[in-house]
Amino acid sequence: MIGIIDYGLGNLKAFYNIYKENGINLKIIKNYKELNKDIDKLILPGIGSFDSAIALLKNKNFFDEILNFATNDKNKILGICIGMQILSSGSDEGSLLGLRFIDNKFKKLDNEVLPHIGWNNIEILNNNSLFEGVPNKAFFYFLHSYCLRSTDLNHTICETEYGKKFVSGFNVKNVYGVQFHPEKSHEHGTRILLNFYKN
Amino acid sequence: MLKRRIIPFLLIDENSDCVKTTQFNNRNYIGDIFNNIRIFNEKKAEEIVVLDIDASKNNTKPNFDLIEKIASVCRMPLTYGGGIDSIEIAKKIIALGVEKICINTAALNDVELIKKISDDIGSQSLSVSLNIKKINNEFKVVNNFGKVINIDVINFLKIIQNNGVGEIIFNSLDDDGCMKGYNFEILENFLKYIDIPSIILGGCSQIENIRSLFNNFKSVAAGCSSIFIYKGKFKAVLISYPSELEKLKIYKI
Repeated sequence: MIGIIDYGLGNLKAFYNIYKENGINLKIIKNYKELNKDIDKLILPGIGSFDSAIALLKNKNFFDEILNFATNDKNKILGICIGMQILSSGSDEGSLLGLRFIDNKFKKLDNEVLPHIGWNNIEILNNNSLFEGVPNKAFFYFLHSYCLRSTDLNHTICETEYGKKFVSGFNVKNVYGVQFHPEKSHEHGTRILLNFYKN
Repeated sequence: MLKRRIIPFLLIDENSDCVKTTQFNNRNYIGDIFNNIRIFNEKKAEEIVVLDIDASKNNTKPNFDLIEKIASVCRMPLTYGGGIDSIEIAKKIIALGVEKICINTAALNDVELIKKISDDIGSQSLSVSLNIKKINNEFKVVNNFGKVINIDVINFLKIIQNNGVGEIIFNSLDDDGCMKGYNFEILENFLKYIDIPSIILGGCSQIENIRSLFNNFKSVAAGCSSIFIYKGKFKAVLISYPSELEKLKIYKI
């Protein structure tokens, strides 16, 4: 079963509606105790700043539960926007430590106009199952100021250019992160959410 | 490459009715807010802004139930503004499923609030909207009643950017609902003082206005209302939004 963490940072309904229309019941997880063996796919959504997101996860006892969840290879995690950023070791936006599934830090985007707001395209770098049926150079909605510049060991699954190229998606073992908002990116975004559920 | 942004604006009043104004007055009812949003969903609008134009005027809190329903119906990235005057309200609205919030009155009253909100929800989710009116040949900021706010606009722009605002909306009172094209003079005056994305609103009546905006100004988004709400010289209400093909024509310089 697929679940989404409700830690007070945004657009859960958008996810819920997309899955519901496709006959999939998305469980909204408000309490860390609900993150039990019934859940095998987990979405970390989010609009917010790095430290506020980490602080909320910790306050609601989600932080360690997510680390624990990921130790089961059959489980999968998808972090979106700030939900992707907190999967890393940290961000120049804040001072707290992230979940550290990926050992890279988020830095400020390199462009004269910030934040990066709007629809930008992604260059798909490998045949990750997340992108099944998604054309290369498809457009998605971005809303952020910090980015992952690179990943070690070919963990980057897609890149986007804003001033310079940055990592708009990564995959390490059973953990995925995308910088854009699939839940607000019409049909290609929906496709990614369904791929995450199916594969 | 980042696409240029074409953003419909919908206004709601104290009765939750969707209205369109002319120079911030003469409200014209333009249908049910949810229905209008559903049409923009179908037309795959890339973003939408919903502003409650009475909340601050009446000194009431935002209508949270309504916002939650709008966010739930809305398939596009959503910005909400109206009546946000505290960090608690800002956080609550983000939690309801809104991607960005927009503040106007509260930003004028308290620039420190911008810092507090942006530290919490991030600059990318915080817009400030400024009502601009030309008075004695000078662009001034006015409140929702059209009354002049005595601030140095350029200095104010610097302060709010330092405090972490992520986007500025220039809302031209003189051009609102007049359908005579965008007021480029506003952008010529202020754009050089900002290094964050901005939106110009007021006056757009045809695709050519958007094309001209994009050709002349970098990083400015096209705020649109009348053009996507009215059809024909009798201004029948008919919601529209450019198709992918039409958009390609706009981007083509």
